[in-house]
Amino acid sequence: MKTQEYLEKVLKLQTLDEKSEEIKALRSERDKVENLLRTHFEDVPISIQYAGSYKKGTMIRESYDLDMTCYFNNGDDSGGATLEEIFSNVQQALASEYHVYPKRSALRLQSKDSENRVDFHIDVIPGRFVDGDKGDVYIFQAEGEKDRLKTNLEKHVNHITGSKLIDTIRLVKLWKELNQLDAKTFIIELLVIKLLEDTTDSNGLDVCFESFLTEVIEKIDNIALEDPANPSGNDLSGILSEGVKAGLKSLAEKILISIENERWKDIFGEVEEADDEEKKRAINEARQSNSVPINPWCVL
Amino acid sequence: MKPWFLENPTLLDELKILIDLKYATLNTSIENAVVYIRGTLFIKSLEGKELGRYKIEIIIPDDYPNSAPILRETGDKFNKVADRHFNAIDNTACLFFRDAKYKYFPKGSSIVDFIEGPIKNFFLWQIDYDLNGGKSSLGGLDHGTFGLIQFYKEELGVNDEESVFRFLVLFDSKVVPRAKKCFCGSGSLLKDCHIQKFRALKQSIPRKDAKKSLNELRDYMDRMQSLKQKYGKEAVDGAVKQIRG
Repeated sequence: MKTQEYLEKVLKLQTLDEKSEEIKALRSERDKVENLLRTHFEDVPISIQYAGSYKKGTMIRESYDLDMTCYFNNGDDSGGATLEEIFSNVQQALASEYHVYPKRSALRLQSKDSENRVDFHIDVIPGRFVDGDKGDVYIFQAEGEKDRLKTNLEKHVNHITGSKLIDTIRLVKLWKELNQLDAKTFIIELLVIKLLEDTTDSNGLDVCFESFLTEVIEKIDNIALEDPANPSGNDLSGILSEGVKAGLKSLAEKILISIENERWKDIFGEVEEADDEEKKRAINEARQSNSVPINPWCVL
Repeated sequence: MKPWFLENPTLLDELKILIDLKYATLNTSIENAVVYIRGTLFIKSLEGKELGRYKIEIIIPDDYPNSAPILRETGDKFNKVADRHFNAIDNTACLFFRDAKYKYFPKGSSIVDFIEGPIKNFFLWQIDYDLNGGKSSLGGLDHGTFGLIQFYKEELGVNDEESVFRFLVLFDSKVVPRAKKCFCGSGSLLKDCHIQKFRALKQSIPRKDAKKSLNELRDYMDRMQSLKQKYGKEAVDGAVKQIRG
């Protein structure tokens, strides 16, 4: 199997299409969330839209969340006078049905059952439109220097889709996820686009991925990223910290050696999954070949 | 006391090199004077098909390599319950009974041996557990003190916990007590009975670990004794049987 074919298969396995159980479950829960918010805020016009990787087409099965907006109109204080109040009121609205875990700008939804907490992989992002155009939005920031951030969903989506690097972004996201690299996905997306300015997926996934790694090693120390929604206003240096840069660079150096040796399957895994019979056979083989029995214990 | 990797930097270099050479998706880091290995572990069949992939965190203990590394599954693929051999308190995996370390992480073994052995086998056990609807055909010791008794019974080839207790009492001696009665209950002296088995285990199991087991077993037997006095032997034995399934 050629590398391009292998990487396409890797991404196919990572694709969550509309018929997949994961997406069906997400959409069903999302509808419940929308109903809950609309009931709570009754006649208040709120903009509830898909956002994040689902909207941008960069979602991967390895790690996925469904982001949804809950934006109030400019000049409308029904959701709260300040962004912090909006954040808190949306949190309260969701708390009737969910255990709500507040993040920097989003509200993570989990089941109420503390014994068996289920994470629904849904983040609700409260905010308020900056003006009547309903493009730019201010969202609350619970952490960081500024308590609000200007963002624009459409600009973000256009930035990603316009890059023609969606598959490369998904591949880099998968690589980040498999290595548990502590870097925001949003930053990884911007970094891929910035570092591969003159490249598109059509150059070949292996070429794009290797170029990305090479560029990381050469340029990461001096790179400054801009948020397409607010290029001069949002400072991303705190998110692309020196620690994140060092982690990316060191990992890139290591992986380039694997690529040089054509060890792609070590980086992204096998593309064929064993069925139950094959799993049973493998377990029997392990049982017979192990000189020491597989004998887990528990302190209790 | 200095952390192990400052005492022996070569050992850390060796660990890092081994991990980097063998695993493209596992990475070593040091945080707050603790060495971690994090990333994804792929489990493959001999035919090269994927059996499973697991996000893991391996914590290298302070007294490495005397103590074995500690494993956590960080991808939330399993409920971290005792039946799956996870410690509910800290979500660590119970790869093997502590006194059996000599079998699973013998002296001289590397971090790669540990990943390819006990860690991969632990995940195979989890796959088997799911395939069999919540019961692994690969075995596994009972939890807690029951598992301790089970391990030593199998190891010593005895059938009762009293023999295990006698073994652990003898084991606690600083020397090999050749002239004492054998733990097996035969009435013969140790030197004429299970001396070879005793010597072999004496060389393999650290005295402090066996001492811990002795204390645990002594507490357990005392508790059982008082329960038997209160409720009767049959009732207590029946309850124990039920707990052990």
